Amino acid sequence: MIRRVPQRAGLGVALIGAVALIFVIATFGFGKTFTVGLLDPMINVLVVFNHALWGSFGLAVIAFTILVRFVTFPLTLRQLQQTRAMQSLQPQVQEIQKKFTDPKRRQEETMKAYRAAGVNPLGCLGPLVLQFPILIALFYAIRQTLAISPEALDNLSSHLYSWSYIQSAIPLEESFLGINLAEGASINVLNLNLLIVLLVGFSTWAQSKTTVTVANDERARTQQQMMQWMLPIMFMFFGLSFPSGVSLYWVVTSFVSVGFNVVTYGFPALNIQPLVGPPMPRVSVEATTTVSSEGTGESRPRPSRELRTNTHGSRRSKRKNRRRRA
Amino acid sequence: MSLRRFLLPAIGAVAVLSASCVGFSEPRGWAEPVFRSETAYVFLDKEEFVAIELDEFGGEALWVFPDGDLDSEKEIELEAVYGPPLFAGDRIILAGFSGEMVALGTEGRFVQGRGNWTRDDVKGAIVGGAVLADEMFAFGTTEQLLYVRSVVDGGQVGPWPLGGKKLKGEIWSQPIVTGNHLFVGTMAGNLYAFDLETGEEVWKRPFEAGGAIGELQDIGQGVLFVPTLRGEVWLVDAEVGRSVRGSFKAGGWVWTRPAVEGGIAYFGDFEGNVYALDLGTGRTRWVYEAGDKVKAQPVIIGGTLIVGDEAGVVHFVDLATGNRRNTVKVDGAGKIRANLVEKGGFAWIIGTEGRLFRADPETLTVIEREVRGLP
Repeated sequence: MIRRVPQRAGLGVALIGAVALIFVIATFGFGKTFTVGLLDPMINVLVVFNHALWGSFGLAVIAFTILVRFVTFPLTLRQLQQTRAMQSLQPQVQEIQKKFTDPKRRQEETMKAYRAAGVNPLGCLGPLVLQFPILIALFYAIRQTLAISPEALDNLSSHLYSWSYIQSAIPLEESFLGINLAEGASINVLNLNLLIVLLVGFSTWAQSKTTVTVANDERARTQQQMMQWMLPIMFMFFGLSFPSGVSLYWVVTSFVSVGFNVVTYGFPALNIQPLVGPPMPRVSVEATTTVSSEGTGESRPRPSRELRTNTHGSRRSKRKNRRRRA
Repeated sequence: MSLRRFLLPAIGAVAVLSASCVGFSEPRGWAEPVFRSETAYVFLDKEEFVAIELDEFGGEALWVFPDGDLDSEKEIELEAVYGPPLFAGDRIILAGFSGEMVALGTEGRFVQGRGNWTRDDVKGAIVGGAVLADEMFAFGTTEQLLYVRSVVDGGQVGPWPLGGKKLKGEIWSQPIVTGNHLFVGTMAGNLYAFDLETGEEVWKRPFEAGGAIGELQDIGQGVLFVPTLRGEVWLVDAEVGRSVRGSFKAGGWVWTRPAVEGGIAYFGDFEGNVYALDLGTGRTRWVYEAGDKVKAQPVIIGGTLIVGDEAGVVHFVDLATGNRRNTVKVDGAGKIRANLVEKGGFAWIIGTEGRLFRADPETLTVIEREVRGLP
């Protein structure tokens, strides 16, 4: 059974939050709200971390990224669990798709199955949307704090609180383990900045590799496989053109995501079981009965088994699945 | 549905792309204009160095450096210039943020072979610009290196190592020279004094300002004006390297040079205040609220202090009382970060948009001076 916050209470809290946010944005404007509410605190905490961690901006980025990811972990966890729950309902969804040819009916039945299992198909988007401004602000904060030019240092002054502890930490040390965090990398120069770009690619790939997928058909799976390679390449390309401090943030946040994924989903390839209790969907009688009554008449409750892509876990075709069930 | 797993990376991609659209304060430079006779030498764009013959309406561009059509100047990348050009005999020396140093003839063309002048042997970015000392010039870089080179060919002089002298902290301020001494401030908050001939430190130990030193100025009578990004201003005895009296605490970062007259230093801070600091007593005569960050050095013309702030506003302030005489929002100037310069009874202003303006203390107006003949 999925352990859920009572929907009405959750909705009420979300509604109050949304109204408050709209009021603040309407009063101060989006830019100001974002800057004062998220960006400035993040920049100042980064500077404080830098000061506390022996003046190492690299350590400050690592520590702060981890902190932010852990603070937002409840949101991440909710998103991961929703994805997992969705994924485990895939056999039922596939069954529905096979049995109903009318797209409208198919959609209705699918939604009914989701509802019966207590899964909201858009449930994993909510936490993501909430995390979105936080991640963007973190990204911007790192770029701002690095002050890669005199103009950037001038701009940074507008974001800093007037506390002596913070003011005396400026400017920040750009070098970390031989990496110049304020500079990007070049494929023509073999240095440690290039290493961090390679790490960007690897960590992005590892993140994709450990994520549970919700793929209905072969085409989607092929797409996913392609994306699994395209994304690291894309991010490595970004890593070449942006300061290494930002790349360091990406590497850390990706590895933290890998950790969260493994904790939530486990990693069958290495025989690692999920550590966080999975709120598996309730495969209700109602759902299975609905499917069977509208379809062929068979009543065949589906086991709530996870379906993973062939990136990890078992590689079993639909035909084999059917044979196995039979 | 199938792409849901990629939403988080996609968010990252959007962040990266949106950041690239916004642009994060790329170096643009804030070199002040320099006047020699009736010719103004200004950076109108981050890399467009122009000599302008001034006239009644503005000026005619005599030449522009670099000229992309010339092979010798094609590959020159100054990136941005923050310090004023140096005039050494028949040469004009420019120091770029890229670390590149170039020497031009007075006709504005690149005259040196790239040998000793290239950035290949200068490590780090040059922010503060260079200072001239007889046959030498000195500059610091963000790699904590102080270079002292020959004006003739950019080569080694005396005991100064060609690869630079390592100091504690990045060097963002323009070094200053008084007599035979070279003074350099660092972003680690240290102020060094060197003997130019021997290369030895003059003081027993560097003066510790406690905050990053972004600017430095000799204000006469053997006293150095040392502001910090912590908002302190120190007056340091150039002979012994000690504070003349305790520091003055401003409301925000002080990253500017003062205008000095009658024993009073006039300067702004990043909280938008302009101070009249009595150098004799260490007390403020008055404080004027400009309202935005003051990075540019103000100028005094007659009884008027002219201040430019980062909102692109020019303030005409009564020197004696600190009262506002007028303020002019200069449309199209961008931010005023380059030091204001007095010439012919006017204050000349270059904004970040690369346009030239002239502030008149008599009429309390600011007008743009059109530069004709630009390519």
